Amino acid sequence: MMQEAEENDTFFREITAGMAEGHEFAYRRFYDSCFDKLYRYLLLRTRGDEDLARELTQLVLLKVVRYIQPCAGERAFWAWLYQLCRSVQVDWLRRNGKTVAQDAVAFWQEQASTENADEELFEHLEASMEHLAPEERELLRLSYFEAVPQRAIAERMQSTAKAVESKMARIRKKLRQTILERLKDYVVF
Amino acid sequence: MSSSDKNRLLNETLRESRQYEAFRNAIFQAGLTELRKTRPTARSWTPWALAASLLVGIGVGIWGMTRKSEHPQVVIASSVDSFVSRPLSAGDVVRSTADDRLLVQTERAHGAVEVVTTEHVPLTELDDRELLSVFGKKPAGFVQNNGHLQFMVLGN
Repeated sequence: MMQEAEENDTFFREITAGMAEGHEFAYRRFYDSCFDKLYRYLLLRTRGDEDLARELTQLVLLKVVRYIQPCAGERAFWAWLYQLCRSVQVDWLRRNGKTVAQDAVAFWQEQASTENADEELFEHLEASMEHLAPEERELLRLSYFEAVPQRAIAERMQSTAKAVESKMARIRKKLRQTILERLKDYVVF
Repeated sequence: MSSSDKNRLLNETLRESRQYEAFRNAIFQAGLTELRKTRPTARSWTPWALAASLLVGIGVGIWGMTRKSEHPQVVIASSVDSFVSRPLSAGDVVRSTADDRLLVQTERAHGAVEVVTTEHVPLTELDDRELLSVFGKKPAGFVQNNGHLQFMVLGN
């Protein structure tokens, strides 16, 4: 655990220093490892508004490229990135004539951190899974949490691997829709 | 249910959209373009640095050549030229046809040349009888002493 944290710190020190020097390979590593998490975070903060989350993701990413400085480690990097997300979103809301309550901003700043953003999404994921049919949940459990190969699942279901994959895609779409619906009730401001 | 499993499921669930990959790639390209524009790497400066070095080198070269032409300097020959001439007497002046500024004046050498003279010394040769009368019946022979050959007669 300790070693993993040290490795992560080293990774973030390297990619932030590399990007600050303008190295493209560092940008690619940052993108591969952070993009999805960044988007998820903004999806949460925009209450599941995919279009807005995408727009904000692009604005944040451009600012990351422009202003990134070498960071001490993973926590420092994500703290800076989330601060940047908040700043970009508040600017966007003001630019678009939305009222931003100061107490809401303060609340958000206190709440937002690397851990609780993911934890909140995991809670939404688990809650959304409860809305699935039992056989759908079982399929996800086998594939994602038991790491059973799709071929083995197909044999168990007396089906084909391709049919299982199609079924999995449909389940994920359903799950995604439920999560986005749930996020609409998420209070940000 | 580990957090890495949940993370994978969450990622794949949220990416379950036709436009997601296109959006992801578009943003990647936008960021890359911005990176190239705002943070040029040391590597991209290299051609400019080389070009600047070349220009400075050419400039210094031209400046040096100009300086040289403004201030003629004494050229020191790196080798000795030899000429064959008729025997010269003291006081002769030799002029170069290739460079009329080059003049050589001859004069008698003072002290640099050592004159060695020899003179004839007559030798007296002894015959066997005379030699025997010199040594008598005493043993005699040549002995090398410190590299010098000496003739020695032993006895009283």
